[in-house]
Amino acid sequence: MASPLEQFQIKPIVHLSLAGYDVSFTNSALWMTIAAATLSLVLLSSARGASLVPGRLQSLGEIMYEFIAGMVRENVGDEGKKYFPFFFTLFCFVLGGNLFGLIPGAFTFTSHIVVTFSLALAIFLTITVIGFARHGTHFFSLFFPSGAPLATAPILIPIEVISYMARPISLSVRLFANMTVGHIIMKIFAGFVISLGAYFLVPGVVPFAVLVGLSALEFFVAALQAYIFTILSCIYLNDAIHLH
Amino acid sequence: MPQFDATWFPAQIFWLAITFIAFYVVLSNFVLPKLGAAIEGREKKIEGDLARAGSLKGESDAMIATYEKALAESRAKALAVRAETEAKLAKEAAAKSAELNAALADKIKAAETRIGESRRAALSNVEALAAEIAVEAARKIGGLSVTEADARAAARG
Repeated sequence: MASPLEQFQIKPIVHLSLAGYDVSFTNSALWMTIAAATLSLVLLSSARGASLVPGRLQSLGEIMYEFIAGMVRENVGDEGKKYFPFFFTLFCFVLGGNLFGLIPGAFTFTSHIVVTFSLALAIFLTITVIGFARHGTHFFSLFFPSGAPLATAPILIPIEVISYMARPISLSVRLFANMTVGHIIMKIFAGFVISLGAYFLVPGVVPFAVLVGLSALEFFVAALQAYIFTILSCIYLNDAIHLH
Repeated sequence: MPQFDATWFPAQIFWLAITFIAFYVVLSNFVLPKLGAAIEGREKKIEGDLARAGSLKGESDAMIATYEKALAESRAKALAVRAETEAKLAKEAAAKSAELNAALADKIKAAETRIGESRRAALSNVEALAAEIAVEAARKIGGLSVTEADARAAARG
C-alpha cells in the first residue's frame, strides 16, 4: 500500500525551465490553477449583473465580500480598505486550496511548506515595507512597547524582534502542518478501512465511520485555517499601520 | 517528506505567483467592484427609502394635525352656533310666552269683569224678584201695602 506521504508527491505534468530553474507545471500548479480558475468563475458569475435583490450566487459572493470586508475593517480599520482586495484574494486562494485538496485524488497545495511560506513571507515583507513607508524609523518603536521601563529594553527588544521575525514562520507552518497532518490521518484511516475490510467486512466499518467524522473535521479545519491565515495577516498589517 | 524536497521549490513558487496574481487581478478588477457596488447601492437605496418614508410620515403627520385642527375648529363653531340658536330660541319662546300670558291675562280679566257684571245683574234681578215677591206676600198675607222701594231695601238688607 502507498505511504501516507505519497499524496504529497510533486509530479511534473509539463516540463518547463526558466533562467536555469525548473519551473515545470506540476500537479501542485494544476490544483492552484483549478482552485483559482473555479473560484474566479464562481465569483465572476456571482458579480455579473449584480442586482438589488441578489440571487443565490450573488448572495454567496456578497456574504464572502462582507465577511472579509468586516474582518479587514475590524482588524485594520479604514486604512485597511485599499488592501481589502488582497485579503479577499488571499482568503479565497487559501480556502480554495484547502477545500479542493479534500477532493479524493486531488493535490493539496496548501500542505506544502514552500507554498505557505512563500505566501507568508510575501505578506510579511510587504507589511514591513508598508510600516517603514508610513512611519520611517519610527517603525522600530514596534519592537519596544511604549510605557515599558527603559531598563527592560535589552530584554524586550530582542524578544519583540524575534517574535516579529517568527511571524512568517508561524503563519506558514500553522497552515502547512494543519493540512499535512489532516491529510496524513485521513490517509491512515482510509488504509485501515482497506486492510481491515479485506479480512472482515464488519471491522472495516469502524475506521470508515472515523474517516467520515475526520472528513467533516477536515472541512472545518480547511475553512478555519484559511480564516486564521487571513485574519493574522490583517492583524500584522494593523501592527505596521498603527504600531500597537 | 516530499514537502522538504527542494527540487520543486522554484516551480511551486513560480506557479503560486502566477496563479495568485492572476486570481488577484480577476477578483480586484471584475468581481469586487461589482459586488461592492451592489452592496453599496442596496444600502443607499434602503437609506433613501427610509429617508423618503420619514419625510412622507412627517407630511402625513402635519396633514393629520391640520385636519384635527380644522375638526376642532368646526366643532367649536358648531357648539357656538348651537348655543346661539338655543339662546335665540329660548328668548323667542320667552317673548312668545310672555305675550301669550299677557293676552290670557287680558282675557281672564275681561271674563272676570263679565262674570262680575253678570253676577251683579243676576243679583239685582234676584233683588227685584225678592222685592216683588215680598210686596206680593205682604199684600196677600198681611194685607199690608209695601212700597217696592222698601221691599227692595229690605231684600238687600
